[in-house]
Amino acid sequence: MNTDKTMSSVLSLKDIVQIKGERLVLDHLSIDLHPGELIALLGPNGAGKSSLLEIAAGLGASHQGEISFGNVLLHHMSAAQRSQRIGFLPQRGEIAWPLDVITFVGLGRLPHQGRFTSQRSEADHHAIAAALEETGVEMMHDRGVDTLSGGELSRVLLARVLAGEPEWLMLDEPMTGLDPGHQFELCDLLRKLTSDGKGIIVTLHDLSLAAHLADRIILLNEGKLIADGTPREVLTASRIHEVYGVACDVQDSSSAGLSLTLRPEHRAKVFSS
Amino acid sequence: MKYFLSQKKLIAMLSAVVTILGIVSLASGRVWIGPEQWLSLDSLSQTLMWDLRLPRTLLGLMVGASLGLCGAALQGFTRNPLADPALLGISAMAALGAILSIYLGLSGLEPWVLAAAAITGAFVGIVLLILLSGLAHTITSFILVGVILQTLASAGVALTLSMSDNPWASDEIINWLLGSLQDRSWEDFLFALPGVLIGSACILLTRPALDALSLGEIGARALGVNLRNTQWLLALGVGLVSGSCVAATGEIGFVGFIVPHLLRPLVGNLPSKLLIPSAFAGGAMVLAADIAVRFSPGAQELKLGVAMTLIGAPFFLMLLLKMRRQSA
Repeated sequence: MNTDKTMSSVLSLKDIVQIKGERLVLDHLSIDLHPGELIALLGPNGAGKSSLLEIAAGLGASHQGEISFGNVLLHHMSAAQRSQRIGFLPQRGEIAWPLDVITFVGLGRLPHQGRFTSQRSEADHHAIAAALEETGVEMMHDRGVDTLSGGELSRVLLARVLAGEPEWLMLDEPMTGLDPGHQFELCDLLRKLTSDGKGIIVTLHDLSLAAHLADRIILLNEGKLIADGTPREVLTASRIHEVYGVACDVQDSSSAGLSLTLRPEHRAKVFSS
Repeated sequence: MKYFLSQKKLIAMLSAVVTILGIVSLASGRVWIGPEQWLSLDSLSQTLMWDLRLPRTLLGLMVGASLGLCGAALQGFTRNPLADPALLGISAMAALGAILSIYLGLSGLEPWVLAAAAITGAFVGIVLLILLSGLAHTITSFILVGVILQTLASAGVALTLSMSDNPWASDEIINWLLGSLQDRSWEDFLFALPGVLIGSACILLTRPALDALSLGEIGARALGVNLRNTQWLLALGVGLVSGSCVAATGEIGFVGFIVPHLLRPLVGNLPSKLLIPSAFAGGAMVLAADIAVRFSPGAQELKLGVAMTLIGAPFFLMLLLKMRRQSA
């Protein structure tokens, strides 16, 4: 159990470089990530979002640079410590077997259980129940994960991460495949977790959704940090055009917030160049 | 709604089945010796029971349990319901190891050499399997590498056969390929036992990792699992267990593939919960098949390994068709 409910640790990435084969995937990135703000990691396909997220979670392939978690270096932490403090949701979360929801969510407790046995303690049962309740999936606890709709599944996936009671949640494209209603529902849940003091980073493809959801946006392109700031600061028409190769109208109103309208005609340039 | 059983209930039921089959297996043979006669046996029946039927029964139980356990563990590790030590060529590699030791005359030196050679073969097999299929276990890559290993091992066996000038050697080699429990002694059982016990312990240690792997590789690593350690622990375990079994009885296929598949829904699909019930059910299945073989009309000719394959192959085909329908 995470006894001090005050604040999670600050995560700082210093001078991260990752090279895969001949390709420079991440190019000298330095970012400080603070808990309590909802951070969206944006960028076109291949920009390095997932690679950066994996590295920040301590799961990345070989790279240079340093990641400190509070006052310890991430690579000095044991796998068990790291996995207790950082919850990670892989892209298109694979579930190999048709487990029922409560068993699946229970897998999130593995970092807190023995290395070679999986006896559940009181704390485990409590955390699983809390995660089911927080995500509103208690009602479906005995259903198979293979029978869930996309919206239900996304909440169950998040419940699995929450069951581990991590300080940080790193979610790789949690919104993909969700309709707008379910996207907003998940946004509300993430906002609530942020206000509880959890650190949250999500990678997203939907710029409007990022503008709606995030306190802070980190925009990557070809492994470089392009912009880092509030949605208003980062999501400008010229920058979106530069990074994504699409024209965009950005309207900023105090009532509706930032609204983005993408126009596809410029997309052809990306392919012809 | 789900209707799976608690682990305890399932194991209690399976132990009851195993006990009954054990009794039937001890009683059956060319002469039926029912339990009511066990306390007043004449010396001939005593020898028959003690030197032939008891080791045969224990060996069948052990081999079946081992195959069930290995199959369940391999299926959990690869997230692939088709994985099985025999199907993936691991047993064939163990047989090749055993046969090479016979051909080279090493097996005559010390009684344990043959088991060690089979274990080495199985270990080489599973290591090759893991290395060649990479950590990207798609069903196709795993099965393909398994087919390659199987073919390679068969070629090795055929080569050994054709080079062997001793007619006895060929006979013995054929016995390996068609697994059997016939005429096994205490020695066969006792030489296999340590490898099976140590290997099973290694396999059981991977339980939390197998559960975590339900989330895929990166998901498992995010839960703190060290995949490399898991992989080596499992390779060592499966190598020891399936190598020891092949050394004792030759190749018996499909048990490790059918048993976990049938039990999976009953344990709620969680890989860790599948291991021990699969061991019990594997023991029961091999005992049942061996009893059936003893009662079959051509008992002298029909080998247990052949019988298992006759049952297993259609089952495999059925599962394959079902998977194809699901993915279509």
